[in-house]
Amino acid sequence: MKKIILKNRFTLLATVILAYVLLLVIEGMVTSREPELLRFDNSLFELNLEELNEISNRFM
Amino acid sequence: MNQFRVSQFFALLKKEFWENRNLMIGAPAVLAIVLFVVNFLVASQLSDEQLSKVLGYVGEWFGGQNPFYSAPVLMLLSLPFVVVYFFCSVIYLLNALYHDRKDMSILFWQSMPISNLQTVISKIVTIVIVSPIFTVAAMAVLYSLSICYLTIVGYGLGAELSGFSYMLAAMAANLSLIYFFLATSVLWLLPLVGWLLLFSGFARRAPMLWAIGVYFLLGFFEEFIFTTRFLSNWAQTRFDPDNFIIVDFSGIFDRLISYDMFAGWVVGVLLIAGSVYMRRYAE
Repeated sequence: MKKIILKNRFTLLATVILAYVLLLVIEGMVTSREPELLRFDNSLFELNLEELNEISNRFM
Repeated sequence: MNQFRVSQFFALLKKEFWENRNLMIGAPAVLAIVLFVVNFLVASQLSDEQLSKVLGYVGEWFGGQNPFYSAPVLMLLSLPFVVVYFFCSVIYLLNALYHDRKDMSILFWQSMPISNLQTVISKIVTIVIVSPIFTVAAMAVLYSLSICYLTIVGYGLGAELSGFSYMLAAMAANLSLIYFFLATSVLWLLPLVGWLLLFSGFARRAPMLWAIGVYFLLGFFEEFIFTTRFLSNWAQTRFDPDNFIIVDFSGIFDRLISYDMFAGWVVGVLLIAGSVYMRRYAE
């Protein structure tokens, strides 16, 4: 197994990327990770960009 | 762990510093000079009365305040340094394992009694601990020069300057906050560090294109074939400003001791291990 992984730099890269993707997928499934990038919470105002779609749908 | 190993590691850190002194010292120093000149030009545009009022207001605002509470206000001033630091760090990491293969000096370094693991760890220590020192030092020089200039001008105009000693203390607190912010941010972004090092060790040319291109291809295929967004969700939560930016000292501990930091370390260590093995292929 080790010989196959370390055969050349491409097999090593493919293995590392595969392990990376698997790790992120398992972690994402376990924690149900959702990005909060579209939400801006602060003391002055609250803005959730995901809600903009709902607002525009009401007017359509 | 004997003394030889420690001195060997220090020698590696020195090598990193000398090879990348333009990124570590040059970039923040040039930025500090530019900002000082801009500040000087802005101050020279104001009339004596306006300048006296502004200095009086600043002194009054900082006067009597706990420097640890007023330090976050100065975070805005340090924003250009933080941006330059991250920009230089990305360039440094992309070239870290690429350049010595390009100029074939890797053959010399691999003939030395230094393991690939030591080499890669020295690059990570450089970016987490050594490089922020120079950014903070450049900021310290800029702050000192600015406060000296404003004190001299304010004294000449007869402005109320008693709050400036508190401002100096707030600047010192701000510098330590910036140092810990930069160091913990790199630890938070350890998966990105590992990703860049992996492609720095892999690519024969254009490591930046490889690093960006492969990530976007993976994300595209994941969404296109499996209609899931695990990869992009991970990247977005990692770069979320709420998680990323620290404005007070308590934020440092909150970030260091958290599940997300631990998860980032696991992913980062996997990618860094890949970059250590990648250094075997020197040809």
